[in-house]
Amino acid sequence: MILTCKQVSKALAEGDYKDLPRSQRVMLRLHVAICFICHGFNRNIMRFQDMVRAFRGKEDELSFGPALPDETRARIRAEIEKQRHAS
Amino acid sequence: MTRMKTTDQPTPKETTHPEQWVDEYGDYLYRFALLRLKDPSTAQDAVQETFLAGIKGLDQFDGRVDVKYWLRGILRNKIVDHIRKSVREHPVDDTEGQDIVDSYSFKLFGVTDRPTKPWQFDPSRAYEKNAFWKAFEECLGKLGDNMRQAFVLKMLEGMPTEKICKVMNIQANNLWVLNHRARLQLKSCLEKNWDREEE
Repeated sequence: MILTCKQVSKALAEGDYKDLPRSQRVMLRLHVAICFICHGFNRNIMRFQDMVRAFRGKEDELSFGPALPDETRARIRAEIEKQRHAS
Repeated sequence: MTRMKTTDQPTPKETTHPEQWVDEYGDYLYRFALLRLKDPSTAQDAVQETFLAGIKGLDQFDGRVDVKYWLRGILRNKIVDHIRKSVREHPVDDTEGQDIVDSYSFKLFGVTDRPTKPWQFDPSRAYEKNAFWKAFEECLGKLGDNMRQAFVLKMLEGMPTEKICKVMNIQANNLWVLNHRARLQLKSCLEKNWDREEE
């Protein structure tokens, strides 16, 4: 089965190439590797899919970024207490 | 005759203490929300709503996953709700990118006229470095709201196109253009901000 650029672009627009069934994934990668029309564009999309996958794997470990502000913590705690005593 | 001893391990549901949730999971959930919603007070609202929904739904929680991830699942839905609300207040300009969608390169090949320039560095070599993800988060924050929402829903959350179109009240082509623009800007932002920090 020969893939067209349009089919490749559509597949990448719909989801992660790593989630494709193996035979389709192989065909897609081959097409992107050798096609002069869509290589640049689609290779970039695949790169972003790789990046986001890596980010999702790492996100839990990352600890930079602001903490929940103290006033908000207190407010949420108060709301939680209210909720728990209401139920 | 050997008897199978049943495990008396308590489930996450039984061992969790909601009064400690804010301390245990508040910062984690807040950062998760902040990345996706950008506005601090909206992110805080989403976190508060998550905890309250968690309290209400604790009886139905089957305890099969860790409370942290169960709460995160609730938060993801709250994030979608907030995006839906934000788009209602600031609708997407669906005329943008019409030139791309009308072009032959898009119609025939699903690509843009202008070629994508190669990356100035190989980002995959930086994935081990926390500093790269800090730059990634900052660059995501610099995107226009609609672009970030499209990127978050499609690429981070992996939501099906049809559902995103309902949430954001747009057509599939608009979503495509938003994500295309988001990727272009993220790439250029990362190239600018990461190269400088790389040893």
